[in-house]
Amino acid sequence: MEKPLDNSRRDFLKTGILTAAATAAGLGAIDALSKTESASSGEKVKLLAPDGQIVEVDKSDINHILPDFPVENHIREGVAGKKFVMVIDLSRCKNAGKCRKACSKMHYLPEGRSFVKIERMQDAETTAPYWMPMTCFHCDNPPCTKVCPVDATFKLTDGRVAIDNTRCIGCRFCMVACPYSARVFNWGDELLAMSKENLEGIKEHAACSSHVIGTVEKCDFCPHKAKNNELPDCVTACPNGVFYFGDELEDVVSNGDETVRLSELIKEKAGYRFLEELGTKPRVYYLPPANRQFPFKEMPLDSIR
Amino acid sequence: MKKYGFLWLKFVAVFLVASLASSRQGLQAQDEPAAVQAAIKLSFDTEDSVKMVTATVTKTDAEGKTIPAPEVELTFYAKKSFGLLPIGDAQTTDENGEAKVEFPRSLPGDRAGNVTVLAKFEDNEELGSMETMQTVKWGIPVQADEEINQRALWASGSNAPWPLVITVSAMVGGVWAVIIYILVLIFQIKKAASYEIKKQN
Amino acid sequence: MENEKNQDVRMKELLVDLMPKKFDRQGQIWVVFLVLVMGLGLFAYIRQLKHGLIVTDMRDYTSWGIYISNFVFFVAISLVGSLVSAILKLTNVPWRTPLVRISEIIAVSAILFAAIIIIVDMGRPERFWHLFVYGRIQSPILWDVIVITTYLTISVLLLYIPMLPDLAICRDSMVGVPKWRRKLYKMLALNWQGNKKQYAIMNRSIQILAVLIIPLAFSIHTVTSWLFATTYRAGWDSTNFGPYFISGAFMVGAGAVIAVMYVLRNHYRLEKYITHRHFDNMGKLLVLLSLVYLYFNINEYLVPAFKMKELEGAHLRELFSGHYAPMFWSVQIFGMCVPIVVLLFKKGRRPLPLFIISIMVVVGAWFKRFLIVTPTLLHPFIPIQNVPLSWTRYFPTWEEWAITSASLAGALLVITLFVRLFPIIPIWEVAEEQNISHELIIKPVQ
Repeated sequence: MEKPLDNSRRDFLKTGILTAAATAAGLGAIDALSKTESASSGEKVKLLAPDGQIVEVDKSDINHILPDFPVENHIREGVAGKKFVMVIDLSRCKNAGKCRKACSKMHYLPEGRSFVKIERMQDAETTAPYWMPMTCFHCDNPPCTKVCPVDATFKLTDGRVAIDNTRCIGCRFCMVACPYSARVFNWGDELLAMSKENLEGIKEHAACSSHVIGTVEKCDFCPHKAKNNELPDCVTACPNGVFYFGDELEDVVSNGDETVRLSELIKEKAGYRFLEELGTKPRVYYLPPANRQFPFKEMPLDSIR
Repeated sequence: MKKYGFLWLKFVAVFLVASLASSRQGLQAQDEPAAVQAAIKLSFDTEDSVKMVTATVTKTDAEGKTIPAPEVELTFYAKKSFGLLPIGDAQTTDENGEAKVEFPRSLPGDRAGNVTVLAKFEDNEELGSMETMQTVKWGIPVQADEEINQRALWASGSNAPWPLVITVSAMVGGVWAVIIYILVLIFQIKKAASYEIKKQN
Repeated sequence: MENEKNQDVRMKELLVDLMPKKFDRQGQIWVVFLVLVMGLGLFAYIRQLKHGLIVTDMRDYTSWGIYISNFVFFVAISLVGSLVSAILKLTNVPWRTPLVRISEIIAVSAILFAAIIIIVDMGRPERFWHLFVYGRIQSPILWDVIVITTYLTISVLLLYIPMLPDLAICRDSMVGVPKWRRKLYKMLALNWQGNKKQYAIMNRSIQILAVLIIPLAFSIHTVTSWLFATTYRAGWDSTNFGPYFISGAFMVGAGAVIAVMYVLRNHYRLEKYITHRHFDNMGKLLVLLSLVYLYFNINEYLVPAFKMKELEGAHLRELFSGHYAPMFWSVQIFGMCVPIVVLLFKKGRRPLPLFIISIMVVVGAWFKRFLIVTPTLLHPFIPIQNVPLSWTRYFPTWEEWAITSASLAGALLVITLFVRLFPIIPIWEVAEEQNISHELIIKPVQ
């Protein structure tokens, strides 16, 4: 009785394996074929264009290879004796977009991707719209560090919330936990690919070891500048003096031109924090868009200048 | 508003005086080519429990003697990490070359309370530009509190709040102790066989 | 005391009916189909490993997609193990006997693939070990890892220990099996002879595990719900999530058991053991669980709808009358309300209608989990601007569908292979119920 049983089992296995192999081969062929097709047309690569759309460009226009960055050895150490804080004056912002551009250049990001967002906010239909630049707020009660399972994002003594991209496992819990949508994820190469023109004007020293595929990143308050008492690029790039940056312990912030007492600035101009009621204790204050420097001008929201 | 009124007057006065002075000096300069050297000296005194910063501007006259430089507009700053924080309003030196400004009552300094005060004049017709710095221990000492080491939900894994650590450890420990016990029982089942199971063909 | 001969005859009958059987044509086609689906998923996963998560449709705003909703679905289904093996046992429900192993293997299989799909969702899966070396006890993800590991362990034990007598039966009474299977049964049977002491230890273990698994089951799905409820987002920032998820889990678990028991009953001709009475009672149980779930749904949706807070209102409008309305109402009506109505009638609790309803419940539950995860992400506190248009929507790519289907196929394959190797209805428990003495249940060669 044994032989017939064995045969049928062997047959079954044979058919099964052959089918599986055939399928795999077939799929592999499809995959290879699809590759050949693009190669013949001068190999195209996907890239995030300045206007925020995904476009296909010729591979020769891309420089995927980012320069060797000094890996942030002391990423878990804060700048001693300081507590960084930022003030953003909404009465001065007209969506010039220079902060976004400067941040992209500083962090080796394509122009369509930046750690600074400029949002068109309009609290209600009856209230006035205004432009609101948003960085990471480096909260003092950060929801993102609470949920990270591997201590890949953490709070430092200098007030910043930093990310260790060699530790991040890419679970993206911090992204859903952040109510300010401050974090971005390195889904794949095409979001980091920079065209040759983008790479012009990039400063050599810009340290950026955070572009690890499959990990998260965000505004870091430019510690490599701040520790040398230099203002982050978004602050200095703004032509309208919107961003103030400084040390809370010194109680002084500066926008490159004006240096003022932080507490006085907040008091005089009724500074507040975004979504204060969530209890996140952000380190970025906003000055309300009153007595505006510029009248509000509508601009298309899918373009980045 | 009164303050600004005086300031405006001061500017007018300074302008008039300076232009007169410079015209005289200009004549002098044409007469005798003398190199004018200027210097600013800072001193810190407390008058009636008000902290005052005094800057004395001096210059060298035709013979190279050091004399006070009046009518020089000075600005005072506290040197901070990312910029120069203005202290008080712009001051003009009096006939003794002195200008005083009140030091802010509650300005944070460093850990020891040091503040670096900077005084400078810019684009003075006679003296050009110059600045000088000096540290004074008039700032409020600042404690960079190491709250990072406190236990909190947002802190590192080794700084978890005690209630959480204890609760989780107790629950996990308890459940896994039971699981280990079950595994022991399984082992006992195996041992509870009263005879060997013979191999089947 | 019935005479031994009659008991022996009935025991042999049980063996004929309930011992694992070979796959017939249908079974083979089924297995090949599952393997193909898994193969396609594996191919898609290799693409994902090569290019990164960009092969999915997830982007910065919709950063969690069907991998996560599938994970929640699996965790939900896995609660059925505790429902039948533990809750029905501790409440001394007599008709649960044929269903315990079915529900336990569904539970083990589901929780296994929950763990697998979560690794698939990671951006850097090779760093999985970071969770164990660098884990932060404050993170809900770490709580989830702990409870899932613990629940899997206990479920495996609750599957294995009550199977010992049956493994002994397989070891002793199966003929014509290859050597590796004989070895497997022998090793797993742990020298089971069925003496008093072994039965005593086994029963004590089962009792302890049954008590232990109930709080574990509640923990596992509460903690999973906290992956969402510990955030501020509209639609997730709800204190109702724990009980809402658990009630949904028990419901979909019951549905899954009904579906599997129907298929097994028909395929293996088990009408004598899985009777109309079982369907009737599972139907009643499903109605009860669905009513509880309906109650929590009402709380979850109507209370915020009463207030219509700015962001939550926008989210609810999307569900009730907006882009997700067709899916939402289909799920609520066909996945919850229709089952309740149909199953309140005895005719609705007959095998075939009940089976159809159970499929509706399970499919509805899968889409319900999707509705819980992704629509919320499209209503962040700051408006979505200056991104590619595709980032304002989410529709899974073929890779995501392939991988998700592969995980479902994998879970079904584990169940299928289990049925092939081991008796799916506990022979010894049925024998015990039929008053066959322990000595006759297995007859080890002396």
